[in-house]
Amino acid sequence: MILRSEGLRVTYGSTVAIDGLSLAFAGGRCGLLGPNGAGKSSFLRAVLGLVRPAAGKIEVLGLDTARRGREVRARVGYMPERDAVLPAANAVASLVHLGTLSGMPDRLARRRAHETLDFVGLAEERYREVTGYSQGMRQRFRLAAALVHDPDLVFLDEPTNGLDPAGRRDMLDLVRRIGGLGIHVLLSTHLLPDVEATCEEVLVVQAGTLRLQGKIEDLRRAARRTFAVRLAGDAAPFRREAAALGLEVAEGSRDGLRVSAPDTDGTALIFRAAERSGSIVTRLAEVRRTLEEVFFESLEASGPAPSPPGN
Amino acid sequence: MPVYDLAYRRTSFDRKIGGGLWAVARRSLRTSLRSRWTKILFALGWIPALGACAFLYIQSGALAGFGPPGGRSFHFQPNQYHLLLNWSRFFLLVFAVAVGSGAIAEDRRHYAFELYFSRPLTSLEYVGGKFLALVGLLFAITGLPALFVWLFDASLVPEGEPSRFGETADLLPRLGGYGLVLSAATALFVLAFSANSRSGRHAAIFFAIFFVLSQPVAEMLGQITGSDAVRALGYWRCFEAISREVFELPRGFHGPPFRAAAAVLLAACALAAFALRSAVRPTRVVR
Repeated sequence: MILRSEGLRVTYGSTVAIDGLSLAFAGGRCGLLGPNGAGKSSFLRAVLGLVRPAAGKIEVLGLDTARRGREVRARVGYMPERDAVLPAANAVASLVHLGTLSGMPDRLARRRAHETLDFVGLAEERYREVTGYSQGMRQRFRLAAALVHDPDLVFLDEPTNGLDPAGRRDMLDLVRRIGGLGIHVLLSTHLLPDVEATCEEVLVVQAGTLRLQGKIEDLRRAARRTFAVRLAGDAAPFRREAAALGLEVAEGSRDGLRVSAPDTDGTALIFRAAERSGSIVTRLAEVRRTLEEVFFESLEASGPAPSPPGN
Repeated sequence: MPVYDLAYRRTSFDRKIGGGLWAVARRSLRTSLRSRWTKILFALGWIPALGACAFLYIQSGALAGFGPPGGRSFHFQPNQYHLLLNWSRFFLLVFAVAVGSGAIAEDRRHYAFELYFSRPLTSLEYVGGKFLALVGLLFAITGLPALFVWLFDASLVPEGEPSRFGETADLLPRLGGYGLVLSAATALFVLAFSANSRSGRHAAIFFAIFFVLSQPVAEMLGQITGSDAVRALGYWRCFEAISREVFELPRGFHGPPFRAAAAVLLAACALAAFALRSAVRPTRVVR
C-alpha cells in the first residue's frame, strides 16, 4: 500500500480539521477531492509529518510518518498550492539546492535539475530568477521542485490554480505523464474536471472525514443506473408499475422520464413495467453520470461516511 | 561537443539524510556573496584592519629600515586591538543588516518554508545553516581582520630578531574568541528580527531602530537609577565592557561591569534564540 491512514485525527486547538480519517491508496493516480475546508491540506500536512496528529496512524510507502518522517519526506515530492519559490535564485540553482536537501549528491542534483526543467518545459528559462517567472512558469517550477529528487509519490496541491486554459491543459498532461513514469500521484483539488482528466481513482473528503472512495469509472456506474425513458401515452400507469418493481421515476427533460434502477438489470425491469402498464417505450438510453454528480451525491448523502476498501 | 539526453527518467541513488545544515549554510553563503553590496561592504569592513596594518608598517619604521638605530619598533598592545574591534563593530552592524536581515524574512515572504520543510530538513538544521553562514561572514569582517593585524604585527620585526608570535600568542584566542562572540551574538539578533518579519527591509529597519535606540535608553536608565550595570542594556556599552574584560583593560567611564554585560548578552541571546526558533516552524507551512 502506498498510503494508508487509520483513525487520523488532526486538531488545531479546539478546531477539528480531520476526524477519524481512514483511507488507503494502493497507487497510480488518485484525486483527493473536497470542498474548501474539507481537511485536504491538513491531511497532506499530516502525511508530510509537518503536524502531529492527535490520534491515528499514517503509513507512506510502508513507513510510519510519526517515527520515520524524514525518510518519508526524502521519498515523496510535494507541490504546494501557495506561490512558493526560493528567493534570489534561478531555477537550476533552486532545484539543485532542493535536490541536495532531499539527500541527493551534488552532481546528480545538478543533472536532475536540468532533466526536470526540461521535462516541465522550462528548459529555455532555466537561468532566469524564479521570482521573475509568470504564474504558469512558477507552477511548472513547483512541479519540477516536487520531482527533482525522483520521488516515489508526489502530492500535488491544486496544480492548476491560476492557469489559463492552455496552461491548465499542459499541466494536466504533465500530471498524466508523471503517472506514466511510475510515480504515484495524489492530486488534491476542488476541481472535478482535473481529477476526471488525470486520475483513475478518487477520494472524496468532507469535514475531515472520507465520504467516498473508488475507481472513477466504478463510481460513475455504481449504485443505481439511470435511464432516460420516453413513453407513448400516459405515464401514470408506468410510474405505478415501475414503483412496484423498485424503480425510481423522476421527470426528465424533453417530456421524458429519468428512471433509476437498483441493479444491473435495469432495462429488463423498465420493459416489464411498460408491459404491465400497457405503455410503449419509444426511447430508452442509459444516462452516464458525471463525476460531479457522484461527488455532490456523496457530499449530500447523510449518515456515516463509508469505510474505504481494504479496511 | 557532447550531446546530453535530458529526458526525465527514474534514477536510483543513496538518499543521504541529515546534511541539511551544511546545504543551507552553503547556499546562504553563495547567495550573500553574489550580491554586489555584500562585496562592497565586505571590502569596507577590512578598512580599519588595513589602515592599522599601514599604520603599523609606517610606525615600525620598516620603510626606513626599521627605525632609527637604537629605536624600538612600534607594536599593537591589547588596547589597540580593543579599539580596532570597536571600529569594526560599526561595519559589523551595517554588514549584518545588509546581509542578514533578508536571510529568513525573504524565505518567509516567498513561502519557501513549504519547499524546505516538505523535505528531510528540520527547522533546527535550517536555522543552524543560516546562522553558521552569517556568523562566518560577520567573523570575516571582525575577527579575521583583527587576526590578520596580529599576524602582520607579530611578523613585522627587524631582520635578525625573533618573530613576536610566541610573545603575543595570548592575543590569538582573545581576538578569535571575542570576534566570534561579537559575530555570533549579532548574527543571532539579526536572524531573530529576520525570522519575525515578512520582508528583509522591515527586518533591517526594526534591527537598526532597536540597536540605535538601545544605547540612549540604556544611558537614560543609567542616569535615572545611578547604576552603571544598567548601561549594559545598550548594545555598544555591552560589547565595550566585554571587550575590556577580554583585553584586560580597566572599566571605561561609567562603563558597566563585565558580569552585568555578560548577563545581559546571555539573556538577549537566549531571547533571540527563542524568537528565532518559534518563528521558524514547519507547522506554519500550510494554513
